[in-house]
Amino acid sequence: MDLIASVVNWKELGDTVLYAFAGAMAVSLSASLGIWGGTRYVDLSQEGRGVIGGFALLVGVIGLLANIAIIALGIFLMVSK
Amino acid sequence: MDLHLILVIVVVSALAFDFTNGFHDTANVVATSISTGAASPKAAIAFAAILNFVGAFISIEVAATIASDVVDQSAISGPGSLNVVFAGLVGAIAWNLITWYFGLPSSSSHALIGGIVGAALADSGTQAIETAGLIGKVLVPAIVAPILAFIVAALAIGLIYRMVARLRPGPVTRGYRLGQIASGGLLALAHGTNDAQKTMGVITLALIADGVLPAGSDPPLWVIVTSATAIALGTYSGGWRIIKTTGMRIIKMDAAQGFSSQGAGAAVIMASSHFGFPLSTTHVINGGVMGSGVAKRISAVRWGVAGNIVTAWLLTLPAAALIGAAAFGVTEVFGDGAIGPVIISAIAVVLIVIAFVRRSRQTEVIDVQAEGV
Repeated sequence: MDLIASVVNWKELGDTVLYAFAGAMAVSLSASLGIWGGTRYVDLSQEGRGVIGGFALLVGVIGLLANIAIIALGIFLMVSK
Repeated sequence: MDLHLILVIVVVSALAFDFTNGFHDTANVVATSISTGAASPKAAIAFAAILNFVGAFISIEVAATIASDVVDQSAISGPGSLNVVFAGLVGAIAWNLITWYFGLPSSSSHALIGGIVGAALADSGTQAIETAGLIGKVLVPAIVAPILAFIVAALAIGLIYRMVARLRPGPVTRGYRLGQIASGGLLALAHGTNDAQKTMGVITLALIADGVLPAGSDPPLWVIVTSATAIALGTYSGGWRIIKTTGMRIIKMDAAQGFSSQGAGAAVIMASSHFGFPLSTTHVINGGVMGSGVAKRISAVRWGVAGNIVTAWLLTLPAAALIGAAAFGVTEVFGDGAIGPVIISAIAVVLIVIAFVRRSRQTEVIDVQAEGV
C-alpha cells in the first residue's frame, strides 16, 4: 500500500476525477436546461402564456449555448497541455 | 538492414493492432446512439470514424506515458530491443484475437500494456519495468476510471430525470436523441485521442529502441497520421459486423440514459487523456452504461455481463504479458535478427485467417438458426 501511495500522483488523479465529474454534470445540466426550455416554450405557447413561454425559451437557449461552450472548453483544455 | 526490417515489421504490427482496436471498439462507441435510435448505424459509424481520426491529433500525453512510463527505454535499447516491442504487440494482438474469438469483453489497451511488460520482463527482468509509472499511471487509473464513469453517469442521469420528470416524454426523447449526436461525437473524439495514442507510443518506443529517435522523443507527425488513419479505418470497417451482436446484448436504455452514459464516458476519457493516463475506453464506456442503468433500476444491469467484464479485466494484463513473454522467447531462439519476427508474423497471419474463417462460419450458422426461429 505504501508503494502505491508513493507512486500515484494523487493531485493529477484527483484533478481527473474533479474535471470528469464537473464536465459530465455541467454537460447534463446545460443540455437538460435546453430541453426543458424548448419543451416548456411549446407547451406554454399553446396554452396562450406567451410571456412565460418566452422566458422558458430564453432559459433553454442559455442552456444550449452553455452546453456548446462547455464542450468547446473541454476540448480546449485537453488540447492545451 | 536486418534491424530496419524488424522496425518495419514492428510498425506494421502496431498499425495492425491499431486497426483491430478501432474494429473492436466501434460497438462500444456507437452502440448507445444506435440502440436509442439517435442515429442510423451507417451514420453513427461514419461519424465515429471521422472523429476517431480527428481525436488522434488532439494530444500526445498518453503516447508519452506508453513510450516512457511503462518500460525503461534505456533497459531495452540495443540489439534485440525491437524484438521486445514486437513480442509485446504479438501478445496484445493474440489476446485480442482470443477474446474476440470466444466473445469475451476485454480491453485492447490493457492487452497492449500487458504484452509490452511481459516481453520486457522476459528480456531484461524487473529492471526493465518502470514500476512507478506502471502502477501510478496505468494500474490505479485503470481501477478508478470505470468506477468514476459509473458514479458520474448515475449522478448525471439522476439529475436529468429530476429536471425533465414532469415534461411530455416525446419532446424530451427527441431532445436527448439530438444531444446524443453531440455526446456520441465527443465520445468518439475522446476514444480516438486515448486509444490512437497508445499505438503512437509503441511506435515511438520502437523508433527509440532502433536509434532512429533519441530517448524522450515525442511521436513524429507521420506516426500520428498513420495511427489516426489506422484506428479510423478500423472503426469504419469493424462496426458493420460487431454492431449486430452488440445491439442485441446491450441494456435497453432510453435516450436520456444514452446521453448521460456517453457524456460521462467522454468526460472521464478526456480528463484522463489530458493527464496522460492510458485507460481502457471499453471499461469506461461500460462503466458509464451500467451507471446510467443502475440509477433507474438495479435489475436493469445484467450483472452476469458485468461479472464477465471484471473477469476479463483481471485476466487481460497477465494473459497478454504471458503471451508477450512467450513470443519474445520464440524470437530469441532465432537470435536478434529479423528471422524470428518474420516467422512469428507469418504464423500469426495464418492463425488470424483461420480464426476469421471459422468465426464467420459459426456466425453464419447462428444467423441461419435465428432466421429459422
